[in-house]
Amino acid sequence: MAGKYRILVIILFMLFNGCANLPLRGVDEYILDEYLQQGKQSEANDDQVSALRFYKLAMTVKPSNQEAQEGCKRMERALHDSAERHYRTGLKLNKEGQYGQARQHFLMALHLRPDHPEIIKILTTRKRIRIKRYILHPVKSGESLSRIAERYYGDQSKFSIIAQYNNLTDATRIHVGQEIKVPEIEGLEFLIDKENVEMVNPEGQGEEAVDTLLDTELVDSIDDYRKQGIRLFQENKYREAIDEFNKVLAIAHNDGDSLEYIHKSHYELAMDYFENKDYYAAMDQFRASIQYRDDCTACVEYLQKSEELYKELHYKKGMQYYEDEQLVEAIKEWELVTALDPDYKKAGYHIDQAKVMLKKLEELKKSQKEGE
Amino acid sequence: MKTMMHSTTYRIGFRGNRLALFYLIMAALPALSSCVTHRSTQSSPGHLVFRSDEYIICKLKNNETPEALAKWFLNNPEKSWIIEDANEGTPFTKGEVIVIPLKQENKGGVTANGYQTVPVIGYNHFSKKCKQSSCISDQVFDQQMKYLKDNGYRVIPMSEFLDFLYYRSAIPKRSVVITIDGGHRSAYDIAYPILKKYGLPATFFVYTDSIGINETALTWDQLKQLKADGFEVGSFAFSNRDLKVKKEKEDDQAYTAGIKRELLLSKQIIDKELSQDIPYLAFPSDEYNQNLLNICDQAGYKMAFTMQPGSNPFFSDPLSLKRNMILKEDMENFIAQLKTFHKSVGSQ
Repeated sequence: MAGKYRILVIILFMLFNGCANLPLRGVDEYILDEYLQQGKQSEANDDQVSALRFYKLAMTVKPSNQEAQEGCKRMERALHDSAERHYRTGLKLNKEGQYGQARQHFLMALHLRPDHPEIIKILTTRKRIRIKRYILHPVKSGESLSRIAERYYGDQSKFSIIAQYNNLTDATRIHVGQEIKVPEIEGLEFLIDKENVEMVNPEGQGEEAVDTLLDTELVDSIDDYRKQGIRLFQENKYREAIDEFNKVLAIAHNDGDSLEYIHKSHYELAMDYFENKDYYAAMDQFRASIQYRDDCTACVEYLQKSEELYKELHYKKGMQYYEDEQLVEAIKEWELVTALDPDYKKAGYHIDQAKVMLKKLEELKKSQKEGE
Repeated sequence: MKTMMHSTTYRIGFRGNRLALFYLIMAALPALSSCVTHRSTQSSPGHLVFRSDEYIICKLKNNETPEALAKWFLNNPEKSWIIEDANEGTPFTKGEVIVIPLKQENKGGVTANGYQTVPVIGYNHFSKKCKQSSCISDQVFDQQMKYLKDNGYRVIPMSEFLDFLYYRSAIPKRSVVITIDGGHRSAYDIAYPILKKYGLPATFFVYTDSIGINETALTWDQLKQLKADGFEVGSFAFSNRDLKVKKEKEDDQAYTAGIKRELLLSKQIIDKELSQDIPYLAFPSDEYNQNLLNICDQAGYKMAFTMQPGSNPFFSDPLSLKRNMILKEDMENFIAQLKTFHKSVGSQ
């Protein structure tokens, strides 16, 4: 009987020995080291995308390797943050009409975070507007694209339509005498004296031809977009709904239903983020919802709550890291807090303290090395 | 830790507690199986295999090809480009460590220095002896296809290009798309065998009202055969009229109806004849406008090709894609059209 057990015990021993979590063999160790070195090298060269890849490869060789795990976490966080920075800069430039530069930032953000949903949406959503006709407007001295938009559409913010129709990559760069095509868009008031202005249709053919073409049953985009948006909203697909309402608003900026629904969609999306404790994303969405209705008290309250919870969360994370003696990580967490609120609790003070400690530790290490 | 576990086992064993031993073995099994997912012990083209959710790392036993590795690890030898692109600069020779990505890393082909672009090359007709421009001889066409094959270019089918444009899946770094316009018989007699010889996919754009009308035109049977061989057939509209010009004596209604017919009907006819639902269109003339794009959109086309030269990044408008028409038998000019990467301004 005892002999039988002995065999079983041996089998068991072999089972455990076969496990890959045992120390790696020589070659494996060499591969692991190579990846870790390459990860560190890439990190030093500020190539965080490659660094993350190498740390992930190191973890493929040995999932329990702490250096690889920490490297992954560090790179993921860094990539997420710099992607967000580029994304925000892109949005800002887009708003200012610097489309070429905005796109460069969006692409950079996508390089850093290839699954960034908003950027994928921005770069792959193709808005189609219906152009009836256009007039050629020679730019006069002191005129900007937004002033031209004001003149023809009664709305400065519609300059982006003109910029895009003329394939301008920078809406701020137009020069006196340049002939700008100002399109008449279906569903948008066009403030011209038609008797005295020569209209050109996009085909270069007679006006009527295009009008007839646009009168067909194929046209009715605003209605379609709006209906589609409401349907998506009712199916709780808020992100997609927002896209549809944006299409309506690009053409008819005062469309009441769309304004109300886009506000609600941002709010619902924000609440989803809030419940999932993604307070940063929630803040963005609450802000967007306030843009469409500044009398929304719930939005303002939740925005403040999200901000508080975000700060508290990262403050606590920082403290946790600090207790675990992970100073670099702790500083990063606290910096997220101070970026939002420099005076929050003692985050700023903690950062300074941690930095001093880090410096001392480095000096200590250095002197030890020299001692050796 | 392991020694401890071992000694515990030993004690239990000698206490004669069979049940405890059984439980211990059962408890050890999951531990072992989790190791198997990490280091695969099965025989494979390489040895020393590590596996995670995102990567497989293997060391080559012999000189295994990317195709063999793709067949083994990705279940599809045609996915060898994934392995080649992920190991640029590493030879596939004995002892080399090869990384096999299991997730798509970069669907838009965006790097810190720029982004991937896809050149679409367009042909018109072919002949053994060309007398007019826009005709390419069989020899030159063969030479061009061979060039693509020998120089690391990957000719991809239109469906994969469509997925790229919607950021749905990655494509090989040096992807190229081939299109052939007009529905000329020479596409079948000359281009088809050469494409087949090199195993390259292509899309044929045809005018529906000229199919089978004479001996210089493609027939439905030939198109069916092309389709059966994996080639794709898209619409070149109904006839070769300029879609944005109103015909003489044509009133507005007739013009509108005409355009709709060109775009909608041609798709319906092709789809019905070839039992397909193919959303590809090539504009028969070199100009297009916003209204035409709107009608294409409504007619269910997902991709439309212009004759504007250039290469296409993933964020291009799929209804006004650029295309490089090969109109001269000039190899240098052909090579110059194959731009697969756009370097951003200011990048090094």
